[in-house]
Amino acid sequence: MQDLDVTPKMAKVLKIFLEDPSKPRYGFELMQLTGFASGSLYPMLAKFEGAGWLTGEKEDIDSHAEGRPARYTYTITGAAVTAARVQLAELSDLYRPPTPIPARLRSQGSTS
Amino acid sequence: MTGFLYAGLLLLGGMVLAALGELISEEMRGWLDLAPHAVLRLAARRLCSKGWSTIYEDEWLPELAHILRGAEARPITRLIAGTRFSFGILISANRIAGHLRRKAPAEIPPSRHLFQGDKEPTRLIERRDPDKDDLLGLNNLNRLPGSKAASTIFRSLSQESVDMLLPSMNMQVTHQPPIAEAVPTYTTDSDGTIRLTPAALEVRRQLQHMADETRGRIFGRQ
Repeated sequence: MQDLDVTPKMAKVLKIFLEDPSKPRYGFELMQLTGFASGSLYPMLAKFEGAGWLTGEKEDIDSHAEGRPARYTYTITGAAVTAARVQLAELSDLYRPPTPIPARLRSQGSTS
Repeated sequence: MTGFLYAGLLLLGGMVLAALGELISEEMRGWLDLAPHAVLRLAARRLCSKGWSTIYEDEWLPELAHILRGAEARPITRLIAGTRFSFGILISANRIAGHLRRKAPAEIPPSRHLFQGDKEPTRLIERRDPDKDDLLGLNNLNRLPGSKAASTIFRSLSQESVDMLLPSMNMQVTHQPPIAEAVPTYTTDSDGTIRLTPAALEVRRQLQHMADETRGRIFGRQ
């Protein structure tokens, strides 16, 4: 599995996979859940798959019986679950707003 | 009397117009569905990669079918949703191509897709992870000697597995996923040719022997 620099958009996709790592996800389902257009989402999925973070496979269904073609699903890999959690935590730290210092403490700090 | 005649003609004309309108609407609906497909096909051609047909057929087309189906009976919604999806893919096709690592069936030369004849009854299949795709547990064939192994394994297969395996075995084009899934037991020659093992071939022979009994049921169902 290759290392990836996870952007906030990528984090949004990863977060959905982390909600239930064993659950396969469809591309269109991810579009709906993230609100991303296909032009944003599919390059991201290709990147994740190419880097070994996601594995893709076709649904195991009888197309004739279901009356629809088998769709392609993505599942997060075991190694990627750990890496994604770390990256999401780092992003969360990065974007967390600083805790405001109360005025009383700030004035005490400036006098000493 | 003339009034009744005019009324009848008007009624008839109305009915003909209504039917014509329905036909035109149906025709338009069909043409509108073609637009997202055409855009998606264009996107697939922009990939400039060997994997384009795989991603187009395996992923994009089924997703588009799902989108169009979801907005069924609303032709304009279907057109907008489908075209939006397809245009997004079209715009990002180059970026997708840059990340694409999927192996395409085209990576195996076409001549290797077919049976080599009775003298060399081998079947060439797509490179896949044998353990992952071993849905029937046929990898065990490699660990047991010859036809005895095949018989043992074959007897242990459920009828459901046989049903699944038999049509796959009878297919002529070997890069189809069902074959790779059903018969992952293969060896790779020094020249990179992928062949079924003798044990797997024995299973195939036995399955073909059984074909007369089950063919009607299996293929009659399709």
